[in-house]
Amino acid sequence: MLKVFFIALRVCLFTLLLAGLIYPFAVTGVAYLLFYKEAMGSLVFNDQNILIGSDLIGQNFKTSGYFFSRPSAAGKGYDAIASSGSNLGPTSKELLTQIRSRVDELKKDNSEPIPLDLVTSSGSGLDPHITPEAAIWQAPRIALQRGVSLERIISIIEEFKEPPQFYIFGNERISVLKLNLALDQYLETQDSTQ
Amino acid sequence: MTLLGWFEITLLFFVVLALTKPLGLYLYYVYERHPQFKFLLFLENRIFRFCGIERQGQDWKKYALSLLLFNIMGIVIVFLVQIAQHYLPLNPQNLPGVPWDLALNTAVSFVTHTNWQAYSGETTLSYFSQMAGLTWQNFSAAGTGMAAFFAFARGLLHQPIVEEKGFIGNFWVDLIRSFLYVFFPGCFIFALLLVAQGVIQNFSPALDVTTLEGTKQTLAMGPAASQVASKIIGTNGGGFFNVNSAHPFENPTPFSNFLQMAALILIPAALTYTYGKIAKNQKHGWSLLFAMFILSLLGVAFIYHFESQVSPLFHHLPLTHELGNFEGKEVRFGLAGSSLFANLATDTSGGPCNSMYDSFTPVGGMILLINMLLGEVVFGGVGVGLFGMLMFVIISVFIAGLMVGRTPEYLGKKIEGKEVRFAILYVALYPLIILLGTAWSTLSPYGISSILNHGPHGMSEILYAYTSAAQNNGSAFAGLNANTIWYNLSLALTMFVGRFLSIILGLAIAGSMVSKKMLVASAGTFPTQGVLFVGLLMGIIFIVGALTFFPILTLGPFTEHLSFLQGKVF
Repeated sequence: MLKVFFIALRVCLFTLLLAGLIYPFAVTGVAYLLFYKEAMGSLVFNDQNILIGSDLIGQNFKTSGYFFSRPSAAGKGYDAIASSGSNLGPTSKELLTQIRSRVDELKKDNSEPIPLDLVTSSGSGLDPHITPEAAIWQAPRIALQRGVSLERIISIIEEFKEPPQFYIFGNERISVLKLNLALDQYLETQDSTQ
Repeated sequence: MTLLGWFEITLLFFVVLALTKPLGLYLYYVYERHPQFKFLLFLENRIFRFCGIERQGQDWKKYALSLLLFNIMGIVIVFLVQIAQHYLPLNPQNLPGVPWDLALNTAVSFVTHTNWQAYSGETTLSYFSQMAGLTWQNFSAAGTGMAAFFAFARGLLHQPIVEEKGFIGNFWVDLIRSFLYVFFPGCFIFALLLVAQGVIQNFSPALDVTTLEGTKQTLAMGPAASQVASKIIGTNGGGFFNVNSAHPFENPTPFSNFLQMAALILIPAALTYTYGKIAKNQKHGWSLLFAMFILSLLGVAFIYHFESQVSPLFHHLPLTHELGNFEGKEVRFGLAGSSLFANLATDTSGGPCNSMYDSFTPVGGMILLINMLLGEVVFGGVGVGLFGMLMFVIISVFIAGLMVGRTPEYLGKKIEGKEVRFAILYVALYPLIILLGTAWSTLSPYGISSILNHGPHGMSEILYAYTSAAQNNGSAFAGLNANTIWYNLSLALTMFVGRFLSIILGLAIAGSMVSKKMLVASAGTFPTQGVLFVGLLMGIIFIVGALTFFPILTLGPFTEHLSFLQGKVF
């Protein structure tokens, strides 16, 4: 019995060292060498080289000159250190109330019907994407707010539309952060040329 | 449902089917033969000498004792690491020690292969706790499962050897080989693939950023890829972040999602080939795999169909309806990627999630429950999944034997009263602990107060928690606030019993089968391959599962579905 106990102890020690320390450090080392940007979180910098977020993590947009992201249940909205879904069930009164109020909010300065992804919160609360339909639906508002033609906005959307990965996996989608960054960059340069 | 969605689902099954044979053969050589290369043999010998392991065989009692001792020691160490994490290195957020009940729950949860997460990863555990505690146990629990499976298979299939009376292998050898030849190389490669897709792997503290709109956002960081790889390959399911594989840092692209789904069922599928190889009856192995494929495809078809329906509650609202039931789902995976992931997560004992199961439609959520209630025999956890399937196989050949009135045989060995008794105990154990826990919680104020969604869905939340714990799945209807003393302790106990009592029962069967003589198959032997066998096996699984759990499913998901159709809310 005592012998087995000491074997167990030594096996614990060895496996902990191998799987708990050597393995994660080895993965980190090789990942830094091969995919440094990805390993560090695919961070995004603006023109002034200031960190403004991550390619992968959604952000909250409330100004009507920006495309809106999906609603978020993470903290107070897109809190990237408190990822969470709403977990509200299919027969939840709370869910119905939330969706009704989002619909009322969005109805004010947009057309109907409203794309479903813009009123339902995502699983992580950090979903960086919206569907292309949801972007095109917001285009008239953006065009009005930014004082540019609808065609210009639609062409920017088309440029940032991502097809299913390798044309097989997942759905068409648009990263809201990339799209809004492009709005700022493209439309600024347009202003300065005028 | 879309054509592209179905294409992705079909592709996944073909990829896994193509990899079953090569990986199955590899696993056979790892566990049933000595290493083929001198260097590896040398390495192994050094490690065995360091740990004091002798290669000689163990009978089932010694095997079970070693297994238990290693795992209980694991619980103690993981518990200590968590409550002392503020004294340990790699804690850049200066997180405090974990409260004792939560630490105990988490330790038991990871050691028992459940990976039930009552904590929120990014705000509770330091990087050191995640690595040395949880990643370590992701390897260990999976290794334990593999060892238990091979011991069981040896008992059923090996020719009895006179001088090795009752030996079913050596636990330490099986465990260390799982680490060295399966999980370490597998996870290492898989982790790098994930990093290439964008899963983070670093040791920086959380990053403060100013968003485009000028608000503050804090990005959680950490060594996620190494843990995600091990949670998937070992069918553990315990993620780095609170929302598991829904988090863009854990599962950034549709392709990483596909890789995770494939890797989740890869080893369980390959083991059917390995099993056929040990049995020298490859057709039996393929028959088991096809039974699994059929059950799994049925599950995903139901989930995908019901998740594509928009809620009747939203019919009168001015919304587009193509996206179906989209609350709690991510745009990049879409409905197909979310439905298939959920199905495979509950087919196996993995239980990761890339969407919030609590927000699934009543029937969609019920399929997840049924997948687990049937005993996670479809693929199942690495090792123990096939273990559970074989219990049903034993019951099937027993019932077939009763029909023709002769002593049943399974792959040449007689199945007698003792083995059937153990197999029935195994099958009856789960309803007992699941229903007991659920009943107790629904009848007590401290159980009810944790519910988020009221009405019949609240019942499902509690049922889901105990099912997930007993079957060592670890996924959740996460609305239930499980971080209370009652749930932490009762679920920890459920997980412990669900894991180790079942393994001990399996090893006991192995122990009683191992010294039985091999008989030559005759005309009266029930064939354990082909359509008849697959049909009978699936029938037995359904009957046992349905009869036991139909009443409680009527109280939860069925009632909810009817309310849902009428547009009733709670």
